[in-house]
Amino acid sequence: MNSHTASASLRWCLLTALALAVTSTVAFAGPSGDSPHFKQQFRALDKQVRAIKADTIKLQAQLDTLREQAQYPARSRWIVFVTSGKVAADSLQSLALSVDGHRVASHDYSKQERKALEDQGAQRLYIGNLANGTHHVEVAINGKQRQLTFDVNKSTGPRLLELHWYSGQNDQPQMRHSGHADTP
Amino acid sequence: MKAICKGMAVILVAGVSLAAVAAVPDFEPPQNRAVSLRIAHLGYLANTAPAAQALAYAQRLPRSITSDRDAIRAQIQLSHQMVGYGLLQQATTRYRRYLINPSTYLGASYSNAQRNALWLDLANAWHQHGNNQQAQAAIKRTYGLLPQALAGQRLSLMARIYISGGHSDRAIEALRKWQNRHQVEALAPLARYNMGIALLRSGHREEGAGVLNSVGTDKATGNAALALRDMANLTLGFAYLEAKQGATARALFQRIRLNGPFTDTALLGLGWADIAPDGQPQTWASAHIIHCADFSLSNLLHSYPLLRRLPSRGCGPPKRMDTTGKFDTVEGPETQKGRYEQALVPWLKLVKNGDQAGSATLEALVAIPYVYATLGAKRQASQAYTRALSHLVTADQQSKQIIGQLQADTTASPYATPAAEATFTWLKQRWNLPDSPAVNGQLRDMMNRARFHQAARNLRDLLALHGQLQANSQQLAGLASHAPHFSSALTDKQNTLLQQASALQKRTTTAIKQLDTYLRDVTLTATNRYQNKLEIFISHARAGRALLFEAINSSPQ
Repeated sequence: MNSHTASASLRWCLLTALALAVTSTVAFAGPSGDSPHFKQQFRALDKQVRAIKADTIKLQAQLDTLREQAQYPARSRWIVFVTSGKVAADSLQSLALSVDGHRVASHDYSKQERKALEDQGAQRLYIGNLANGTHHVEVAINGKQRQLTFDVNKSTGPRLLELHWYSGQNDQPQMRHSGHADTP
Repeated sequence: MKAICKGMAVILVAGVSLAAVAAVPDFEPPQNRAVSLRIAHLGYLANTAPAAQALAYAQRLPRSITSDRDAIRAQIQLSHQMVGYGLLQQATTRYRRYLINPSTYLGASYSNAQRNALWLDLANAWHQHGNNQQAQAAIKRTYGLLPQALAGQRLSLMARIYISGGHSDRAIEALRKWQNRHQVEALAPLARYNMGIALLRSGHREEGAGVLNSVGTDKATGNAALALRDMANLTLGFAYLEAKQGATARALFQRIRLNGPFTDTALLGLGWADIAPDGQPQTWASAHIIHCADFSLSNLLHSYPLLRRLPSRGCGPPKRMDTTGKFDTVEGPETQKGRYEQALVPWLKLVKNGDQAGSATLEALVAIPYVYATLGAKRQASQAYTRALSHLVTADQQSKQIIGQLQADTTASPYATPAAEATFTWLKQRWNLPDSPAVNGQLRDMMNRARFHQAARNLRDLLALHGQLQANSQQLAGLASHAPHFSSALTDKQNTLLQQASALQKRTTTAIKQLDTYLRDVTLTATNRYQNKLEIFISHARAGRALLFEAINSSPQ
């Protein structure tokens, strides 16, 4: 092969490489290069996944209801919710709930959870069974920094306890509680 | 009461951590507090819990309270979560129900802009999930005067939908309508990028170049914006390189950062541009709408040095300004030898610092010995061919290994609980792929594709659901032994749910297999394409080396 042929061949090599470079850029600039077959397959699978997710959520809801009905019957069910008003940022760090001297629930609050509470959200801190009669409740706020203690007189039927964190006098955050009847 | 509160406050102010005993509830709750608390709990979950948990709780709320204002607000928040979780049909139904006239349900504080933003978010999700028809239907639900940013988002989405459907002409029409009311720069850079591509594809080169140039010269901040700016310059650079306008392409490639995601491709392009002929200075065209408030002669002259005409003085209706400009050019060396020598600079840099499995590096590996041979540096050419072949053959072996492994269809723990995010590392481990630059590069590329990424997320979500269903079934089966008050009615319900869970488990298992196969097939197709490219490079390198040896042997001693 003479040098002229060699040069021509190399030029072809160069042009092919150039074409590849340009092709790769065009492909990158446009939508992804999946074939129509893959596009169609993706759409069908995506639809299938969405249906499974929806059905799983429905099933989960039914299961949660059944579990609550079985484990926490209406006559003894006792749920504790935590709510909050507008309070100084980060004032609520953690809560621990004890009933008759036994710790039944505790929670450390993230920034996101505090914000959700301030946005009129309510956290379900505890669900359990409580026998009819008087019970001593202790709420430890931010470790042992503060404590709220009170008695609860549980009557027959589902009951709710709301612990409300709010800004009291001199903007000092405080906690108060209230009891409510729940729907069976 | 006040005295008690005051007392408590004093204690707290003093910083004494003592028990504050409250014997009686000290505030009056509103009526139906039980219902309000459940609604508020939904709101709390919508903001803090995984979407599936919040949505399951929402299902349990009695239908009678769904007209409550707080409940609707929570439902809208939840619908937003549904969009993120992929339950688009359900979100669409809820938005149709609750967002028809939000001020009726939610009061004047719920602005039209919020409502329109939710519809646009949903439209975007439909588009991501490959359903442009539903995406367009969601866009049509926006109404009223949209703030400029939101209007820009809507246009951007419309353009993407049109372009992905192969209707560049409609995308351009939408851009022109926008231009009649706004300055094109007010459009989000991604929308402008898409528009620029649509214009270039439909042959409007100068106008497309003008729009892309506006993205390529943006004062961008943040990684995504900077990457988009680089991408615009890269696209323009290759477009002018293809048109044999080397001087323009050089200047465009030189705009690209040396530490961004497109550095390798830019260095490759720059080398080719150095060899290409200089060509003529290239013009870009763009249209701007000048509003009264914007009018300032000095600003205009500063912004648009090549204005063809200026708006008349004084306030009046917005005026359309057709502006043109010329791209900067960087002339190459006068001799061909000088051009080839110059091309070596970016390519050698690329081979040294670039992604070793990336297409740009592989292409530069083959181009370098060709340039040495052309310059008559036979020893360097020979060394460069040897190096290129060694590198390419290794990459070829690695890609064959990937193909073999993907075809073998082996999965490590097919139902293992997935990582928090669907990442390429997770897929690599799932498919037992070796840890090599070729594998990493290939999977990273795949993850950057919207459909592949969504399919990987779907697989991850299904694996999580699979685990959840399994745990639920076990819990259900053992419920009677843990629950002291299990009636026969509950047993019937339990059996029904167990059957449903089993059927759902089967569907999930099938879908997991199908999704896994889909992801493998797409990866396999891309890897085959990559390997074909490698083989072309290898054959070119071998042919080039053979020609070089022939030339060395035939040359007089």
